[in-house]
Amino acid sequence: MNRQQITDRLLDILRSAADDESVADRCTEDSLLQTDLGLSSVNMLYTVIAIEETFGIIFDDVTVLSFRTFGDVVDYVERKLS
Amino acid sequence: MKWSPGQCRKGDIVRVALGSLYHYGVFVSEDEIIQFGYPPLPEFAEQNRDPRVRAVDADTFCCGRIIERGEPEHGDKKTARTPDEAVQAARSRIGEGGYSIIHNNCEHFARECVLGVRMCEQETEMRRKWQQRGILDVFVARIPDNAEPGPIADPNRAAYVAETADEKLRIARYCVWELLGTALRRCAGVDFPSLRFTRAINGKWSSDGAPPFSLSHTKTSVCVAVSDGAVGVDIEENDAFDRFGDPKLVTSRLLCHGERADSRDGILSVWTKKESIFKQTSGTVFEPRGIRLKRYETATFRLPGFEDLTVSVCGKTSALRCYVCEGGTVRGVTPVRI
Repeated sequence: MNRQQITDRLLDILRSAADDESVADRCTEDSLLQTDLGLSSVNMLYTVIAIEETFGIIFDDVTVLSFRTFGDVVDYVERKLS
Repeated sequence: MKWSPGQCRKGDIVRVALGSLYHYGVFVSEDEIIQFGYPPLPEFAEQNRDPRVRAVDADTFCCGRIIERGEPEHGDKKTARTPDEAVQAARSRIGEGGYSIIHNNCEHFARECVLGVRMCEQETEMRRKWQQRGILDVFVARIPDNAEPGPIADPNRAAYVAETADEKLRIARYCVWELLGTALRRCAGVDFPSLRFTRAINGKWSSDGAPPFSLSHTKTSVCVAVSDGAVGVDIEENDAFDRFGDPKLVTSRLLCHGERADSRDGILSVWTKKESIFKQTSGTVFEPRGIRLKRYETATFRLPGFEDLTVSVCGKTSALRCYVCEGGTVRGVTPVRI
């Protein structure tokens, strides 16, 4: 799965997880998860679980603060899948 | 586990609500509650960079919220530790790290110390929600001006497209099939060319190797819905009913008793909804007045860049996700409901 495909899947998850699904429309790799996308800790938990289920990976040693931007999440998933 | 505010006792599992999440700990005394990481609040951002098991006082633990104590119920009692054992287990882990938001968090810690079972109900519940969320993905694309029907792997669909005398209809049937391939690859990861499809007597297409889907097209655009349950979709140009002039010519053939459609959008909405219901229920003859809208779960919407079209879908609308396909790329978009 290439970076674009990972990004597309993550945006799908964001639509399901965020309180306002339109945040996915304005999301870029530089978007800050908490301040730009408004993800609460509940949204983050749901997002992380959804990512595990979607990509079949396990998040180890991950805290709410592990990811600052959307691009950080893409990097993490890309690294895990490789 | 039964939760209630009350006098906490040594060895209790305790929690505070932070929005719809909870922060957990092991109560020893008002001066000592043992927690794994601080509550996930901005004021503790620095401390939570490297979450560890530590003892704090009740004020720090609760952040001004009400502390609830957990009362073990039948299932919990089998493995529950005595208060002294619970406190000893919690204290022995002070300084421990290795925090993970879903695999090793404050709830795992507190439950393991007090109940002897390492689990997180919050994680279990969210995972269940994700697994049961359902799928309803809708894809829309324009028919290119220079579109030409190409080869179609499935012989039944190839024959269906080839038999069409009308050139524009043939192109639309080809393009909607192309879009189905895109949708199935994206939603279900299926190898589209290897699938074989059949067409029922009511015109509905299906394949043993594909999830339920529905097709629709206009003279300019095509639309596909894919779901994990029965689904129907309909797309119409917004000016589809303008040629009738008097709206009553349409509404008299469209509405059931008690239903209303007072505007162009209203008529479009009801018409497309009923056609999507007809497709979802695999009806044989489309008789709009025989379909009562309120009995079905439907959504009507427009998509960015496709505002000249109205789409309705019948199925698990709470799971609705929309995509537009432009220039060979697929992009998720937010539907504007009408």
